[in-house]
Amino acid sequence: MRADDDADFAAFVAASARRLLRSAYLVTGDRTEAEDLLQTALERAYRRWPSIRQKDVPEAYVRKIIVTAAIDTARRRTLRRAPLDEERIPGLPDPAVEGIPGRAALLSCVRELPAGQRAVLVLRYFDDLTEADTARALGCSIGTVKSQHARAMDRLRDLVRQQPDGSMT
Amino acid sequence: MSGNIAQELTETFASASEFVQPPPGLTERVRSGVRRRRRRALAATAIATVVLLGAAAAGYAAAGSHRAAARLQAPTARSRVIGTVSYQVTQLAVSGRYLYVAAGQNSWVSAYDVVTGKLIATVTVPGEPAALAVGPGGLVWVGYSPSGSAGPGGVWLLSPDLRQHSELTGLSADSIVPVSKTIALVPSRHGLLRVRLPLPGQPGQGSQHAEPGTSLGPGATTAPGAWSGMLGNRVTVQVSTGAGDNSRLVVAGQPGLTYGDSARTHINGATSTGSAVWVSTFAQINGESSLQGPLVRLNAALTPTTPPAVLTSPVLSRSEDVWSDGRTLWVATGVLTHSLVCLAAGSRTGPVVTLPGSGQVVALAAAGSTVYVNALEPPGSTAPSKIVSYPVPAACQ
Repeated sequence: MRADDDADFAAFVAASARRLLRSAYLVTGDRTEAEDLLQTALERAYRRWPSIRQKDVPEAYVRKIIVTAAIDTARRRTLRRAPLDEERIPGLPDPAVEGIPGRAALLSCVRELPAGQRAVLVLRYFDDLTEADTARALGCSIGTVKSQHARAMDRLRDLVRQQPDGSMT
Repeated sequence: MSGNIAQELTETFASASEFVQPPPGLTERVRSGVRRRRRRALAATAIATVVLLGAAAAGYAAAGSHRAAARLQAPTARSRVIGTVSYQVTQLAVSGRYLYVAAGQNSWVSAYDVVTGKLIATVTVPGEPAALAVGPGGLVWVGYSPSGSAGPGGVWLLSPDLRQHSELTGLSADSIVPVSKTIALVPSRHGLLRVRLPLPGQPGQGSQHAEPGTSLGPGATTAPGAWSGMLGNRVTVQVSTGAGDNSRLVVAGQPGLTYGDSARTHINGATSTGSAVWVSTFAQINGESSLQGPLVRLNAALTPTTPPAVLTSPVLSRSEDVWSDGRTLWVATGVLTHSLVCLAAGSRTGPVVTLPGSGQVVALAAAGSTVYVNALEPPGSTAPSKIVSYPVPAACQ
């Protein structure tokens, strides 16, 4: 790889890695898995970086690899997923939702969703992607995004209503 | 909430992931990962080619001083399997009756009894072991990389049986040069650090201090697995230059003395025989790396002094990595039928002897008359791999 390509890649990682990792964490619910997904996706990007930096939007390229791999992994997994709020790393600050009952409860509801629906919500409400960009990230049609989103929101409302006090706040 | 669940989701996602930070050195981890995978792919391609062409077609005509020993596809009766491991071995070290095995991804270091092959102990260090070295007294130095989940990097000093250790955290030790039982030199971007630790199991605090007059030059960084070692009475360090596969050797304290980091002389591996450093090099052509190239010997000024017999060897011109115990030089090559060869380090004429066994050599350690090798068979395989000992050929001693 040429030096200017490599420097450009390093700058991309510096600028985008945290955002991509947060997104991966929200989809997987597992920080270690999220880090592995991010590194694997970045390695794939690095191998063809000169082409990606010219033709593609690098962050979208890497995000697509991460999200599709996360969904594939979740589908293959037979063991019960560890919940998001049990994935805190000892010694690090707790997620900010701790102590905010509404958000903690909402997260516990999100983790009940299938991985594909959870990914749609993360891409729409964390990454702030349009429906079209969400469809590109997931490699599906806009119609599928709309239907997945609608099902996710319906299911989320049901789960919220089943919370002990029936309310998130 | 149900009235504006979208807004709640946005705020919840933002706050729930606020604490997530990428692991330190992510870019370099990515580069290293790509390099590892590229090596495996090259090796896998090589063996696939040979399968297609047939072993006969792959016959190699040794030239000059190259002398192929009896070649077998499996370990011979003179070889011995020390252990079979299901994880990726990243480094080996040997001292006395113990063979030490570092498994980078698992954060493990294990000790085997080289006589009985028995697994003596396995310890889990707080991060990926980036450096493994045996120092005076048979004490084992392990440097580990910073880990996003386990905090900063550090150094452990372990007893030979790995049952006791002392530690120092807060530094990234990608390579370690032990200088006494309790002191080691660790390259950092600002030069060498003098790391002092209590003896394993003893009370006390570790410490680190910058070693005066050991600058590695501006912009120098180290990376996990980078090499450092003694060249004469100075420490030589493989430093990254922040551009892909590019790295160069630098004499600490004499940053004007460098080797490498040009289009045709990138550094794959390096080792010291005391008065010389041997380097496996590779070239980049049109941005593509072959990861195979000439073996080069450097003197104390890092000037090439490669013997003609080495320069003209078709096998050594495709070196991939190099190790030494000071007396014998071991070279992993890209020539499938000579995947591991040895020669006497002081020799100017060879011979170069091929060891039995095939596969991609990923780690090696030698002591006395025995060499220990971990190789992936077939190359690129993710199947459990063997750690095998071989007697050192007399011609290589």
